[in-house]
Amino acid sequence: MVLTERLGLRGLDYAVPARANRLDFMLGALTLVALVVLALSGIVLTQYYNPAPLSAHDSLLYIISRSPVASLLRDVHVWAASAALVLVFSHLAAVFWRRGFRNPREALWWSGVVLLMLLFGLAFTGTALRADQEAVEALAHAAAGAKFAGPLGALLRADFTPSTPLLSRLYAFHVSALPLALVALMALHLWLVRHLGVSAGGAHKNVFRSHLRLVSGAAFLLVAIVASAALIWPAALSAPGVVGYEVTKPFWPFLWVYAAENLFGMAGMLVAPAVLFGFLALVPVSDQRDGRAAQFTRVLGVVLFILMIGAIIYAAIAPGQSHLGMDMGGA
Amino acid sequence: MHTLKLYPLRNGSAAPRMRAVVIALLAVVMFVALYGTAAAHDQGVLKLVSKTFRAGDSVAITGAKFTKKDQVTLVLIGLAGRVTLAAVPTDTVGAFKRTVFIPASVAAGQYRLVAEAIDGDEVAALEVMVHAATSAMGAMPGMEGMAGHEGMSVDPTGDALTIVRARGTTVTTTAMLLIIACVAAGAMLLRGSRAIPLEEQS
Repeated sequence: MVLTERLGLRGLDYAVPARANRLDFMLGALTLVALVVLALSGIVLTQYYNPAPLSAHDSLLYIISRSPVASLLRDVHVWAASAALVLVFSHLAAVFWRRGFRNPREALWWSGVVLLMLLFGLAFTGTALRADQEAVEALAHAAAGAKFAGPLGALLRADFTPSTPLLSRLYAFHVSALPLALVALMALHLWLVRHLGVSAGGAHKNVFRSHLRLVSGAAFLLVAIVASAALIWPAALSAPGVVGYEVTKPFWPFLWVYAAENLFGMAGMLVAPAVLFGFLALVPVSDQRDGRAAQFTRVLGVVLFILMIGAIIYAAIAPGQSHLGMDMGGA
Repeated sequence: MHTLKLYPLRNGSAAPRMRAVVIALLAVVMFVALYGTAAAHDQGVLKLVSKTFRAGDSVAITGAKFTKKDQVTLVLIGLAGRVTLAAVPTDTVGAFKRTVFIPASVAAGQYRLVAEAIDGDEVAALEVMVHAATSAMGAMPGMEGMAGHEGMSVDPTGDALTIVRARGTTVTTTAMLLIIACVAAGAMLLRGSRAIPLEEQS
């Protein structure tokens, strides 16, 4: 009781729809939990990781083979990244399906779309930091995309700031600019959720504190699942990357882009993300009230979602391909 | 009356014209100054016996047509970053010859061998290919003989390295206890939770 008064916990007793206690309304909060796990494990890893290109791979070998705590936290970091992406996509799909982007929640949806882009940015820069073959290939693709994009891709050019290597700059993005932007947008997102309310509907209301208790329970289970996966299936690391070859496939969240590149080359690699994020940006515009436009938006969204899952599965099982004129080595 | 109307027109048109002339002159002066800066370094030529070498090798580099009695810095620039090889003085005809050591820790791949003037301007460049060193690549002190280095492939591969992980009993046991605690806490919160209707709260 004393704590409730002193910490102002009565502020948590505001009304939320009773339906919000269902799992599909907790996905956003669970994504936030995964991001907190990522931040905490990432802070420890910064003490071990060396972002100089010639030392990055060695520092990872050190983390894996010499430091028990950092090794486990790296595995937790990698699994938490996968969990965050699965959860955020599920959250996106759930909000899309229940049309949680309609008036007055357009800004809430758009802030979520930008958060998704930032998560992809963090996943990409995190992959590049490994400095192994997959990382070098990811960098080569980013460099080709940057060259194609002209001045817009300047940040990803190896010679953008000649005094600092690209890998070190990506590390700086991974641990500073992208997380800062993520926190700022997350604050906006949560502010909007608090003041616009969740799109659950229904007259029956509960207090937020009881919802928070359920979310905390699910959060503990999520942490247990991520930690168990980290213990059972430690994150892999391949040999230091050799530039000019493509013998790997990307981190799974990028497999749909890889599939598009398999089918349509460089254009596919650039157009596929543009189609996805363009569609997501237009959803609140095209689906504001029931009608043909709303039906079309829903069907298109479902088709894109199925295509994306299909592309990920196809890219995962199809034989590897080389792009951008790279060699496939002995393959 | 007629003259009075003309004066303001003349004054009004003369001032912008004067401004345009001054701006044009300033632009010319700036262009000449910038051109002078840009053209301050002679563009040189780099030559190698072979454009393909191995990390850990010593490579002879000759240069010509650089600014006389100047200094250039030889740098390898690739996707993985940049490696400064040496700062080399040019002679009285703007040439140099230097054998540089390519560190064994340089990652294999395509690089640009670049000669940079003192102010960082790129004055010559050459595309080169660096193959991986055959020996272990302990770039960090104290890393020699570390698990994962022995038998590491120099060919491009996406296969996971076989690394002996640093998983002590203490860390693994602690992690498992924490996992059990998380499962217990999660189950307790989920099972013990009761939705509190707003009416009951108030």
